[in-house]
Amino acid sequence: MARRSIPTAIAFFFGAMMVVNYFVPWGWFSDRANQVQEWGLIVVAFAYILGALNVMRVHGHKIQRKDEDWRFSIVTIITMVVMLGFGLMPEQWAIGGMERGSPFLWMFDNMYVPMMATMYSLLAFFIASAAFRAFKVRSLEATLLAVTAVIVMIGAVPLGGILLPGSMELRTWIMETLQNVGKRGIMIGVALGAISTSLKIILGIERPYGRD
Amino acid sequence: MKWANFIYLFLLCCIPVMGFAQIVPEDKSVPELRTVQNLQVADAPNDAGDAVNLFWDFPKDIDKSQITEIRIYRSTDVSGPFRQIDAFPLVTDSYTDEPDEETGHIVSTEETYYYKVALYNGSEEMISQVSEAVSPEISFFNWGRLNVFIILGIYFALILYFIRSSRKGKEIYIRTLPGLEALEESVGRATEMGKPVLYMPGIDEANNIQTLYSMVILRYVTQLVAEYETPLIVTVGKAFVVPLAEETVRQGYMDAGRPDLYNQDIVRYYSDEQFAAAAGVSGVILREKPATNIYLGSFYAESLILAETGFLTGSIQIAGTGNIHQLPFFVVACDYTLIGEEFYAASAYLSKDPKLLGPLKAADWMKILAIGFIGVGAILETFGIDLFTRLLQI
Amino acid sequence: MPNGMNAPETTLEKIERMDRRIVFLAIAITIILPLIWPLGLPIEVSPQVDDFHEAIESIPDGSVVLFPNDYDPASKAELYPMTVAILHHFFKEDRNLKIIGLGLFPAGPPLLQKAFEEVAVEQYGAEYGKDFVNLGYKEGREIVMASMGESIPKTFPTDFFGTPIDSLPIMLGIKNYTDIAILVNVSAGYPGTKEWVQQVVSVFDVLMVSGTTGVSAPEYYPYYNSGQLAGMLEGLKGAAEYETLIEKQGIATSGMDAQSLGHLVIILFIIVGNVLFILNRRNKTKGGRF
Repeated sequence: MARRSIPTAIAFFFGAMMVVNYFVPWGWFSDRANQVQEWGLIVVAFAYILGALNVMRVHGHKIQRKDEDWRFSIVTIITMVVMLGFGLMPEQWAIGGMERGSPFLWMFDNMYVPMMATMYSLLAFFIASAAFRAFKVRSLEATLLAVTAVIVMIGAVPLGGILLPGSMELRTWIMETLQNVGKRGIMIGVALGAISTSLKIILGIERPYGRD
Repeated sequence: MKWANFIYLFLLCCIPVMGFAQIVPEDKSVPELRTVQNLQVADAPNDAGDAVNLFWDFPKDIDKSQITEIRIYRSTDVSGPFRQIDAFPLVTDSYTDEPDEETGHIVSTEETYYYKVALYNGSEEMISQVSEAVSPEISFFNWGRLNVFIILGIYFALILYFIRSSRKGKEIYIRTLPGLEALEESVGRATEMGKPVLYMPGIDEANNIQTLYSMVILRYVTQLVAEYETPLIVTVGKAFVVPLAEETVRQGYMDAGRPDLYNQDIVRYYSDEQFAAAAGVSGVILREKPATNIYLGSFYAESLILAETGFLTGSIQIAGTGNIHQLPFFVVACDYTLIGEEFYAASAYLSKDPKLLGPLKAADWMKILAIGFIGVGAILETFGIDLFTRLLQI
Repeated sequence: MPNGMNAPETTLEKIERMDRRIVFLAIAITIILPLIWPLGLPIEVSPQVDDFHEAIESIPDGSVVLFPNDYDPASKAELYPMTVAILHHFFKEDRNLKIIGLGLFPAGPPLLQKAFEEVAVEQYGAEYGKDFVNLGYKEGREIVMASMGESIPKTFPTDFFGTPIDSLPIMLGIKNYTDIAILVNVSAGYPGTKEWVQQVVSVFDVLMVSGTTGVSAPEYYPYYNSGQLAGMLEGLKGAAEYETLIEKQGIATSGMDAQSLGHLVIILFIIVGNVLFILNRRNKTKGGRF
């Protein structure tokens, strides 16, 4: 009973306090709410340690059992340790700190940045293959979708204005007016769903924590 | 000597004439700076009694470019002494006196304050008359948010009403949601193929409602896979979600009576960085080829990368998110997509619990109310009547 | 055909279900070739880009410019060319503008510093601390924006390198937004353009222009239409148009050739895919073979 009630009571207390803080400007509530938010930041910081331990454990087990592609797990652990190590080194050390010329910043500029940009650029290829597969005129709605997508793509580039005069303006109208209509309708539904879910969690009707 | 007298007299007269006739020098003095007028003070509304608002007017013909600084003075006695509490170069007609932790400046409900406003032009300062007395007061309710409070109250009342009527046996209709119908079937497919089920609760922090809600569905999915003894992989993109996910999965196996199937390697954390996590999860999909991929939570640009990678490996994919900008990518690349609030209906739909169906129905009625407000507001605004819009403004 | 046996796949069906790596290859070729051999496709400048350019031209020589770059490496491909082009505009005509840079994304300031060094220092001989400064990153989002309205030095007591900013000549006399002639924001999302408009333009009435990613640009049209944003650059296309205006073709312009052809190839695939789909469907209903 206590296993169920105590987490529910804690969730209710803090959830209700945050809701009340929105409506009651009384200093006591806002001070406590700010304090809770600060606690949250501290807890999140400790969570990074848990995350790092998880990575070590999962990949450690893979290496131990020599699962498929276990060698990549060695690379993962080494890179994590190296990056963390250089990042934690004091500035006073020759190889420490994060200023220009430091190993940490070198790795950031020459490894991290290109890798992030590469992953993001994969989207261009995936959009092309998804578009080829998905924009088929199977029905009236699918046809409308395909035609709209073509107009927006043409209007998005300078060449489009030459190939299809007026496409830039049509694209702007589609983006500013047409798509906003549907988007805002879905946003209202999402917001209501989020409020309802929040209320359910605060009241203990939905419990993504604790045990039954 | 008459001539000498005349010259002497003439010279005597010339001196004052010369004095009056000399070229008037260019007025290089700083133009006279006048002070502000009509200084009003009032307790800042809807606050914790720690702010006072000041308003004033500038004289009509004042040259504001002469003003280099505005200074605020305060005292607890109408006759002073007044102490300067702030100074700023911004030429404005209002100011809010608030506490400042750094300087230790306080505004207390137990004091009565008097203010003066001074304009400074670089050499002289023109101070206004003393203001009326003002005492800050605590507002126990933020009346500016009354409309939100009323709407939330209505929503809450509807939720309670529909929970009650559902518990009494009244049937609440929910339309079929193919994505949720397919959940059990897709887990069965994974079991037949001997492949794992991959579940990703989004890439956002644990304080995001979508992540929290995804944990509820994860528990249900864990019970399903436990029943079929299907391997489960949970990939997480935020360190703080790791203990949440581990506890949820452990609890799911316990609920299904199969705690022996749980192991800590089920939950895999990759990185807090968006694309690093996407790369890690893509790697899992390509190597371990799960038969079913479930993406339920808050996703951003990595959504298409994950969905397309899953498509490449032939997985059945069920996705749901409250992030509207990612819905098109999921719709295009996944077999089933829960759009918008369908995602939030998952637990109610799967469990058919009256306590969960009630809020679903209440949300539908709130949407009807929203449609009504939008319609009425749009018609009134078309005729230039903004009363309704102003009533709903925060 | 005997019962239970499927008809062999026709040529059209094979093409319709072609290996997606062919699509990837086509996209790769279409994007790489114009980057090596630019086509020089004409670029038409949109009104919002023109307004962006005019807003910067309108500020007096010697003015102070606030230049927040709120993006990280993931958006670098789309927004870094914008940053570079804007810096060219600032320094190209020896207008003695003072540029105060900062970032509200943790990984933003290093990218901004790189742009400063590549453009301002190497190409125009600008001096750090005198002609430009990088205040670095500060956690707090809207709170940082509001705090700068009271005092920029108090909000950023040191710069990106840890140097006290009151020791930098460029920051002498700079207190808050009243000392700023224009706010030029390059942003990838949150915190970004919307927050700057809400916290700064609405409260302090500062002239502001913004460059954003193509995906998030539609969200800011209302601000441009209402005049709260004096101009807008939209994605790589906006950056290319801007390069055209300042007559300094760069990555964005060459990227535009690639983007134009890339879009056209995708459209071609959509059209071909649909033609094949229709033909195959007809073949199936009529029982024909191609």
